[in-house]
Amino acid sequence: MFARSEKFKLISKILIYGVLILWVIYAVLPLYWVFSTAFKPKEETQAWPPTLFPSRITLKTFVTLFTDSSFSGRPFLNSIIISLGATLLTVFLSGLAGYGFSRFHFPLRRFLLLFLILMRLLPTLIMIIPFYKIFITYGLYNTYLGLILIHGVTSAPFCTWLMFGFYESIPGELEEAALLDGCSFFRSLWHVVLPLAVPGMAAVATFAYLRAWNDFTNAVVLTSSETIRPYTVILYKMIQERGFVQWDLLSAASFVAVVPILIAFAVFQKYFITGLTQGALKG
Amino acid sequence: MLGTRKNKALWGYLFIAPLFICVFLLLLYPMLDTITTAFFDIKLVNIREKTFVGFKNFQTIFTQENPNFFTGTMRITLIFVFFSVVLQVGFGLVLALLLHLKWLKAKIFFRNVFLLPWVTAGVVCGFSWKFLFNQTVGVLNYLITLVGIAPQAWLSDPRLVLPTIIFANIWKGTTYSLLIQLAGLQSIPDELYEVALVDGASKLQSLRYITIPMLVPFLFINLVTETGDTFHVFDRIYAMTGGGPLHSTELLSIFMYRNAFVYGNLGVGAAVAVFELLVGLAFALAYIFIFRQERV
Repeated sequence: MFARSEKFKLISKILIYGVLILWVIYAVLPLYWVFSTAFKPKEETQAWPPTLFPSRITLKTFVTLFTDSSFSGRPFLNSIIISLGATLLTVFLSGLAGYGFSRFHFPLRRFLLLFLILMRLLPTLIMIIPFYKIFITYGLYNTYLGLILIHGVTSAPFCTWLMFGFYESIPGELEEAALLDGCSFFRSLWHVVLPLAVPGMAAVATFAYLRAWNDFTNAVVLTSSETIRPYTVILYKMIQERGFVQWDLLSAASFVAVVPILIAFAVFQKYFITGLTQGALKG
Repeated sequence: MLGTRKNKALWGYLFIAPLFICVFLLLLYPMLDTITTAFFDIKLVNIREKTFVGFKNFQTIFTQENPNFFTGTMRITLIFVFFSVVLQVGFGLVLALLLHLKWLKAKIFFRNVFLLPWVTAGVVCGFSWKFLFNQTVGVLNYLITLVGIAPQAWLSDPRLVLPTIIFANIWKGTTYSLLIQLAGLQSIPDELYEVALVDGASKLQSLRYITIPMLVPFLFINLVTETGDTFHVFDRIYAMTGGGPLHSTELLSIFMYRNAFVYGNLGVGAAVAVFELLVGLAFALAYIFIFRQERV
């Protein structure tokens, strides 16, 4: 009876919003702190007590970061090259394989699909030592191509499931009709299937790009020169290897690292979230 | 042209061939190579030279001192994994239940904000928390001095550092649970609740007898993936503490990295990796066993 009273309802509503807002603070606080530090004048970043808002907003830290630090723009350029390459590779591999699994029935089909789930569950950290050996042996060590291959291929099993689920939702009659109309098989692929598959590929591309962009472990082991290394490794070096941590520069670098990906994610997430949870559940 | 059955199968294989060639070369082969490497003495500086040593690498790990492998590294790893997984799945479930409430406003806003940590790179995550927890410039110490608690050395006090990194770790890990549980909640048909309401069930009763049982498969998948992922968490913790102070946050993954790429002993590193894989597998099997029992 008590549960139906208006007062109880109001209190539980306030409590529920309270819990959600607490989690918002927890989720946002570290990033807010880093981002606001990036826009503070240098003296203020070391000041006590710390300031919640910058006393004045300055872009000086960003200028220093790109012109006068071990950072420069190079690590970001490297990250973009590696991530774009990996994304293309993943979209190519999983776009083809997902179509094969969806439209053709062949012996071992189910077994191979399950095998891909197993591959997705394998952590790449376990394989880092063989990666290193392979890279040294075949001249892939310290190359863009090496990292592109690793990221592209490790993202592909999960993305194949995403694409498979996506093709399953496109009726096969469309291609059959195109074939009956005298359209060649490859033309029907290019003009009928591909345009329909674009949203699925956007989801796959977002996932693959995000994974490659955020990777640290593979990059730190499989590269050695600053001309190849992505921003994550350089950031790590700045965090750990200096006796005196430059909070301002690191904050600016983090800002540049996270904000573009947040924007991209916001744009593509509607394709992505459903695909991700579906894929995870089938997997 | 795709008419015959045989022809069709051939086309199927053709489409999946590029993927499987890549997966065999860059996933399956390395997996198997990790296992063989664990039985050899191979150094980072010269990978061409290797000698078979049997189980010696495993012996090296298990007899390690300072920290002792079982009372040090493994104990830390298990505490880290246990609390991370329980809290991630628990908070994920609670947040998903709240976000699924019909009357809740600004759902999209909350969900998008909760996605932020998940999109953030591990290294950036590690740095952000290192900054917040910093003894002299960190905001956390400032906040606790406001309520009259003395500033703490969050990341250099061996007693505090483990809870601290768990706190930072679940920041990133909870989002995935939330997404899985939310998908689970959305898969429960509304009719079930309506029937329960007609039968006079209270909200708590329908939570207990409809929502939770229907969520069990999702909880299962969630537990398996989160446990696996947490065993291999590396970059965010490594960026935050580097395994220190005095190995007090040296998880199995960091221990593996140190042996292989700092000490340059690839064989020992591979042995740690194999051990890690076996522990992960044991947990997965345990979950399957427990959930089977539940269903019967």
